[in-house]
Formats: sequence, C-alpha cells, structure tokens
Amino acid sequence: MKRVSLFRWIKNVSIAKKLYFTVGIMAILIAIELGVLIFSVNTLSSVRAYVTGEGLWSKAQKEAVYQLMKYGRTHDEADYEKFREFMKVSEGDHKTLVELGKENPDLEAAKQGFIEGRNHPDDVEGMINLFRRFHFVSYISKAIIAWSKADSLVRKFDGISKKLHTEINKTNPSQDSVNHILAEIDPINTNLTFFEDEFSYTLGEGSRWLEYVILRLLFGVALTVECTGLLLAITVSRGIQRGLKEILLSAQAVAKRDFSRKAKVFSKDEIGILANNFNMMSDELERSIHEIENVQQRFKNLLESAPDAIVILNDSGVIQIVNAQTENMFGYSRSEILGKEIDLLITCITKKKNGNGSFHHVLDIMQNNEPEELEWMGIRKDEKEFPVEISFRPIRMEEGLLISAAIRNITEKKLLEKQIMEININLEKKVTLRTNELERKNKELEQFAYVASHDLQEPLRTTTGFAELIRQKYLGKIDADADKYISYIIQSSDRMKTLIKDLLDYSRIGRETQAKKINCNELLCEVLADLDGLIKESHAEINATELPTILGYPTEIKQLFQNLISNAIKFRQKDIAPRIKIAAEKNEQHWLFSFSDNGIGIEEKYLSRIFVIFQRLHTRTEYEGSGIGLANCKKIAELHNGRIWAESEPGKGSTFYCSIHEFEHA
Amino acid sequence: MKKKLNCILLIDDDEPTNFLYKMIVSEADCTSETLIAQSASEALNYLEKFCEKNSLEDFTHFPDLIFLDINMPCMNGWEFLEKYKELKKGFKKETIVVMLSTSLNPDDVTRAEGMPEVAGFRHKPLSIPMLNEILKEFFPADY
Repeated sequence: MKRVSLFRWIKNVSIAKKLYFTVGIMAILIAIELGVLIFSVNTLSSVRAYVTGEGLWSKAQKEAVYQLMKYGRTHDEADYEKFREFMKVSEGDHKTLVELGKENPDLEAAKQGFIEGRNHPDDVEGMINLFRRFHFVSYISKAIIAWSKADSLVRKFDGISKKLHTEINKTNPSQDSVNHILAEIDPINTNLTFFEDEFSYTLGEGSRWLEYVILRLLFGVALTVECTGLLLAITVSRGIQRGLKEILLSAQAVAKRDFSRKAKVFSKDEIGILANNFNMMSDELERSIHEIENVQQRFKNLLESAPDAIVILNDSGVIQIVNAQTENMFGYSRSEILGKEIDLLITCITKKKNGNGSFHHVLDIMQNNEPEELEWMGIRKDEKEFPVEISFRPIRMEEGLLISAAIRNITEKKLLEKQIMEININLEKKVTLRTNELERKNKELEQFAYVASHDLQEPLRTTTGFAELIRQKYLGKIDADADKYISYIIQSSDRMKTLIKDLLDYSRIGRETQAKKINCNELLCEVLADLDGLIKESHAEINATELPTILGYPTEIKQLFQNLISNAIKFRQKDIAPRIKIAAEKNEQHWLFSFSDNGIGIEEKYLSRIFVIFQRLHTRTEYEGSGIGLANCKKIAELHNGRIWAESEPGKGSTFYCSIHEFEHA
Repeated sequence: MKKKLNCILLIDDDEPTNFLYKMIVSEADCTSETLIAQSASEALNYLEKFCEKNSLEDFTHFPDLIFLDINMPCMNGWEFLEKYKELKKGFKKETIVVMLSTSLNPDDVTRAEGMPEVAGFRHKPLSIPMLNEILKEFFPADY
C-alpha cells in the first residue's frame, strides 16, 4: 500500500519535484556508498595496523627470548636490561588487552598500552575501534583468543627471567640451574610462534573476508544506486512520455478534426494539467468551429432561401457567389455565371446613353454618388429583358470590398402598379361622382327639413289658434277634466312650435354663405341684451375677458353664445345665483372659447350624449327644452372647422369648450 | 269573465301622455292599480323593491304589465332594459314589458324583437282596443 501511494505521489507531483526527488535519492545513496567506503578503508587500515603490531610484538618477543638466552650465558646485566626493554612491547599490548576486556574500558589507558607496544599513534584509534566493534566476528574473536593465549604465555617469561636473574646474582650461581631455567624458555617460545602465526593468519583471513564483504557491499550499494536511479528515471520519463504521447495523439486527431478523442489524464503534474488544458482547448475549438459552421450554414440557408436573386461581386464587378434564385431568375446555371462580369445579368436603363458598364453605376451607388433611383433591367440567358429592383450593399471583408446585390423581378409589381393606377383613376372618378351625388342629396335633405318644418308650422298654427279659441271660450265652463285637456293641447302645441322652430334653426345653420368679421365683445353684449329678462330673473352674474374679433358666420356664432349662456343659466343649482365666466384663448390655429358655470353639472357618462339632437337629461317638468340647443352648437362649431366638448363635475359646475378656426376666405 | 290585473306600470317622460294613458287604462277597467313613472330611473327604483335581495313578500303592488317609452331624457328605454334584465333575475313573479313608442324606425322594432325581456312593441298612442288586444295576447287565461 505504501509503495502504491509513493508511486501515486510521484505520479502526481510536479516534474521539478520529481527531478529533485530523484536527484535527492541518488545523493543519499551515493553518500551511503561513500560512508561504507570510508568505513571499509578504515577497517582494513586497522586490520593492517594489527598485522604490523603483531610483527612488532613477535619481533620484540623473539629479541627478548634471545636476550634472555644471552643473559643466561653471559650473565651480563646489560643483556637482562635489554630483555626487559623488549618485554615492554608485549607488556604495553597486554595492558590494552586487559583494558579492552573490561565491561567499561578506559580507552585512554588502552591507547597508551598500544603506544607502549610501539604501534603508530595514528593507527591506535582504529585498532581499538576494530577490537570493540568486531570482537564478536569469528575471525577477530579467534585472533583475540590467539593474542590472549600468546599474552598469557609471554607473561611466563617474567617468572622465568626473575628466576634466572635471582640464580645468576647468587654468590655461587649454578650453571646447571641456569641451564635448567633456560630450558623452560624453548617450549614456550615454540608455542608462542604457533599463536603468533595463528594471529597473523586469522587476521589475514579476516581481512580477506572483510575485503570480500566490502567489495560485495560496495557493489550492492552501487547497484542499488544505479537501479534506483534507472527506475526513477524510467518512471518519471515514462510518465512524461505517456502523457505527452496522449496529448500528441489527441493533437493529431484534432488536426484531422476528430474532436471526440480526448487526451487521457494520467497524473496531476504539469503533463496532466497540460492534457486537461489541451482537452479544454480542443472543446473550445470544437465549439468555435461548430459555431462558425453554423453561421456559414445559416448564411448559406439565408442566401438560398432569400426570395431575391442574390449575387455577390468583388470590387471589380466579377460575380463570386450566387444563390439558386439567381439561376431560376436568369436561366443560367451557376457555373455559367460565376467568374463573369455583372453586365451579363443586369443593365442600367436610366443612364444607358453614357455607355459605361453597369458596374460603373454600382460603384457610384456604393460611393453615394447616385442620389436618384436608377432603373435596372435583368437579362435572361435567352436575352429576354425584365424590370428588376436591386439593392446593393457593401460587405467589407479582410480580403477587400465585396458587394452584395439583391435582385428582385418586378415585372408583376410593375403590372400591378399599372393596374392600381388605372383602378385609382377609376375610383377617383367614381368618388367625385358619388360626392357630387351625396352633396346634392344632402342639399335636398336640408331643403326637405327646411320645407317640412316650415310647412308643418302651417297646420300647427291652425291647431294652436283653435285651441286658444276653445280655451278662451270654454275654460271653466265644461268640467275640470275638459280644462285639463285644453291646457294639455295648448302645452303640446307650444312644444311642437318650439320643436319646429329649433329644427328650422338647426337645418338653417350653414345656409349663410358669407363669413364676416365678428367682434365677439359686441356680439356678447347683444346676446346679453337679448337674455336680459332671464339674467335679471335668475340674478346671474356674467363675466367675460377681452374677447377677440374673429372671422365667422355672425348669426351662428351669436346662436352659439346664446345657447351656451342660456344653458348655463337654465341648469343652475337651486338657490344659488348662476355665475358664468366667458374667456377666449388663442391657440395655434384656432380660438378656444370657454363658458364656465357653477350649475348642476353633468355626469361624465352623459358628456358626449348631450351634443346629440333631441337628447335630454331631464324631464320637461324639471327643465324646459327641446334637446336641440347643444346639437346646434355642435353643428356651428363644426361649421367653423372646430369642435365642442364639455368638462364637468356634478354639483359644482361645467365648462363648455368650443374651438373656432379662423376663416381665411373673407 | 274578466279578471283584473294587479297593477300596470306606465313609464313615459311626457306628462300629458301619462295622463291620457292613465285615463284609458282606468276606462278599460282592467287593473286594480295604475302606476306612473316619469323617468326610467324612477321605474327602476320602484321595481328594485321587489327584487329578491330586498325580500318584499307583498306582491300586491308588483306590476303585471309595464308600458315602456323609448325616447326619454337621461336614461332611455333601451338603457332601462339593460338594467331591467339584471333586476328581473331577482323577481319571483313574471311580468310583461310592452314597448310603446312614437318611433316609426323599423330598426327599433327589430331591436325590440331581439330582446327576450320585451314581450311586444306597439306604436303610440295607446287606445282601449290596443289595450284589450294586449291583455288577450299576454294574459289569455284571464281574458
């Protein structure tokens, strides 16, 4: 599991870190190898020092034996001193052996012992370390045993030499005793030689073993270093290669426009990020290409589905692109048109005389030098000409200016235009005819209303006369019912009279043909004088601003004023004296007169109905009237090209507005 | 055997006309009560009393027959009928509306025929034979 996670870690870590990691591992391994090397050299050097030490020890031992034998013969004390001197070598080494054999050895004392044993001071440390580190190794332990045995044998010389020294220094030394003592030396010496040889031999063998082990160890470490390096290099490079190969394959696929092949992502390092980015880029590229293709397809569809023949020219008038409609309209196949000049298809008839090619006009249009509409003709393959309408548009592209020409066959349109024109002329004739007829009929109707209402007065007058006669003669003489009948007859006849008179007035409006200047201030005075009785009776207060002098029909305008003012007084609130304000305001083309009162007001829903003839809002018992006054006012306003309307708040009062256009045909 | 109607309602803005009609109705002796409304809104106000929501249980003054004028100030006969249409839904008793007008306009007759609320259309003036004919047509069980 740990190995897996390490591999995963290596896989996902950045390439730089991978390199650092590899080099680091190599450095550590090489450092280990170096350590091993140094240790091995030191150890071998120590072995060498022991061998040297053994030589010194053996030499000193042999010299000591020789000097002791010599002393036995010569009895010279100098020889005995020499013996003691040579024995110091083995004594020094003995001290070290004893010290190192202890549980907690005094290393300084051990060192001192070796130095006394004539070993080189530089070797001493290594020798002690070797003893301590490797005493459990068979070779070393065997050598130490040999050394210990030899040492204990050597110590025997001390006893022998002391015995000898005592014997010789006796007053009568016995040579026999001396020889007997000397005879003890030889077997020990022989034994010592055996142990000395064993020591050297064992160490030699040990050093060879060590050499063998170190060589293998070094070889092993070196192999590990190389293998690890190789493994890491392979792992890292393979990871990089695999990732790069994926991206390369995807890139090749994209180059062949296969966007479905995505680069597999193996790691989260730079290669992995690169692969991800590459995939995103390829997606984006696919989308962009798709969009561009869509746009192209749309353009193509648009071009082909256009009802017009669409021709795209380059800046020298050569046809670059055409749609199917162009083939239909001109009877050429696409290949016959492409690459040809535009003059093949169209010709400008407006400026044919100039002799320039059609494209010259096209360029003029492009540069806005052609303010007038040009007329174009299309030329079919069979040389038939037909009228066309063309709209040119510049298309600025990277490679230069292109011009699109939308060509429409207007043969039918022209035909229709002609037909419509004919129809229009006919229609105009008919309208004139009808208008005249209508005007005549209208006149007749007006005449009829006038005559009828006029003639109606005749029998009415008779009825009224007789009714009046009956009233004078028989009122109160028959019975109460008869009185009532008579009064109803007279009442109804009076109403009839008013109605006929108003109807007559209404039909008379506009009969006056001459517009005159009217001073509205004077006109108002006249009206107020006419209404004097009513004003006094109702205590009405009438104020007017300065009124203009206008051009209009005096009788009608007077009637308008009179109707509006008398209405304002008539529809007053109970117990409130009517207050009427009259004003005029000049607008752009007309005078706007306003008549405001404080009367009963009109509900909003009736504001338009009040101007319709015979429409009344109250019963006759409430307010007298025929329902014709405001209809008159409307007709008068319209006669003056104006209009009339009212604004009102029930219970507070109303304002009537009337616009009067000034006449200019005085 | 003649049976009298409960009540006849006359709707007309003209006072002499109403006077004349009342006389004719009383001469015909066909109703216990004759009511006169001088405007459409006055008539509506009166009829509202019999509407369900007002739950007036006494129907002795409920008109069995209504004569309606067309041309009246403020609210005319047609406008009255619009309101009456709604009001009628609340009535517990049937009533007959006969339009009575001076109008000779055939459009008015057609319009009246198209309205289920209007039982008949007659031209003014009302007379005793016309009244009898109306009673025979609309109240055949009683006459």
